[in-house]
Amino acid sequence: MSTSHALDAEAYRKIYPAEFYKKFLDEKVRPDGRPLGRCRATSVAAGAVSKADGSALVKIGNTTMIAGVKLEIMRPTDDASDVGTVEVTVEMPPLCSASVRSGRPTEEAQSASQRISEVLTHPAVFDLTQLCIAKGQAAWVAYLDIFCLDADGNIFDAALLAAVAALSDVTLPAVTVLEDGRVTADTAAVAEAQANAKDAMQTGEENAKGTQILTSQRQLSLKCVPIGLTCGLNQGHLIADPCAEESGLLDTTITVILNESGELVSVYKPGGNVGASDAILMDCIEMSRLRYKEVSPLLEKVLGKGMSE
Amino acid sequence: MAALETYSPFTTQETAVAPLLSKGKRQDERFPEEFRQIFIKTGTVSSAAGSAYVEFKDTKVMCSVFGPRKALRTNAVSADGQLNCDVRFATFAAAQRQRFVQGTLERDCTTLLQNALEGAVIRESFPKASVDVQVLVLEANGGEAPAIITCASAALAHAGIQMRDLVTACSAAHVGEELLLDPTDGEERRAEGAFFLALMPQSNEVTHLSLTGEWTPQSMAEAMELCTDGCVGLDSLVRDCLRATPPSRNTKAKGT
Repeated sequence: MSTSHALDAEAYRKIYPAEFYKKFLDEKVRPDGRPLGRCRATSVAAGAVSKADGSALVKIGNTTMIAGVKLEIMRPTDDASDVGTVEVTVEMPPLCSASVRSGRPTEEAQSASQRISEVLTHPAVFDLTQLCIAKGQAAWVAYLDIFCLDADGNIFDAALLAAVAALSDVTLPAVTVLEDGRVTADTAAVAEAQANAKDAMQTGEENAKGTQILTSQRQLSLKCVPIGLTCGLNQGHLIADPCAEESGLLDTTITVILNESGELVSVYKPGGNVGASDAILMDCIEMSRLRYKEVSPLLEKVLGKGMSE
Repeated sequence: MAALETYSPFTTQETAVAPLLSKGKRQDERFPEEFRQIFIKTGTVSSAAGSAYVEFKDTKVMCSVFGPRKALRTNAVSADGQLNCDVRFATFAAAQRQRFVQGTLERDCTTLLQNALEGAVIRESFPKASVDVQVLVLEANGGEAPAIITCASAALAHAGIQMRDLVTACSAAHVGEELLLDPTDGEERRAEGAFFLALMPQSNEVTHLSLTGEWTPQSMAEAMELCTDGCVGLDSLVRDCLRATPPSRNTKAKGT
């Protein structure tokens, strides 16, 4: 009976995944042909969903994320009267992977939501006062929802990239506050408030109508652009951007997020079977620097502004 | 953390009511019997047994099919396989933000999809196992139901699940004397009657039909003819797409 070698390799891969993988690592290459430090092909497209106020589609290899921002209004709390908020949620619906079956949100998604929220709401990254409409009265809430459409490993990096692109894609509309205290973006009401404001300017007096609070249209911006790289440790080898199959074999992962000046924004190593030495951490930071150079032109292109200077 | 109390500052009602039809053309420059721009792609999700993405211009739907795999719930009564459908809407899919939970809209769409597919999928071909059809609506701009059904049926075929025929679906709205094929959400809101058809085009069998609003027997017959043609058109698009990206069974361990 003739059995092809291709079949043998596939069977070996399934029965002894760790040994199969080690044979590749020893040769400093991965089963998908990548060298250990190379990330998969990455693409970023902004404005993927027209119903959202800002959106982006990101692909890293097969891993696909779509992020959308919906703007709503809230009344700020007394202890933070001049800031709005960004509510980040990463969703991994059952459609994204065979291992997610209907029910509760996955741990991976919850952890990613938490970490992205920490990065994006940090004062050094995003100034929340730009979401203020009227101090103590009204502020924007940016609901940033990131849906995983295809989970093939490295969910976090893709989600962060999508989040950054979607948030930078948001333009806050001009709004005015109505008599009942509600905020509206209705074009007629805004035009009227604009006309009133102009009148008040000309006559130099502040009549009742002239004090209607009016904010003009403005683009959201990030103080710095955080980009992350997740590396995995497998039997002492450091591999960048692990895919789903590789993720199952990793001893631990290390995520390093940098800004455009090469400064650390966040480092995350969630437990695992092994520790990471200083040397490995330094390697991760160095790989993250190289990754930043790869990804920032993609972001620049879609956001249409110089962010590297 | 307690949920924030927030509201949307955007008004949803249309301010200026422009006529739905002027000089024989609709607001988006289409003729009454013209489809929106359609895009269909199969093989969009790497770990699914089959997957598809369907765009009716600004209505965007994605679907993954997993299985046949071990069913989460066993059915004591029947040995036939289970077909489980689940439709979800992304939070940013509609004009107003929706929470990502199964609400009335999701349940309605899920039931509709289940009804439309049940007649076509040969459940005897995967006894005691389940085939899970997962749909995510990325953007809803009218005609979600037809897009969902067409997308799910393309994904099932891509997964190599045995079916009697593809199922495609199509909707129409009537406004005054005119019938509009594939209405947008604005047209759906202002229509006097809505017609929805899910069809197995090759065998010419209806799997699901619904009709709401005011219809005369004559306008109903016209709508039936219009939607049947629409379904046949969609069917050939799906088939072209499946031929271009054939099912990738047995190349990789899938759907376990």
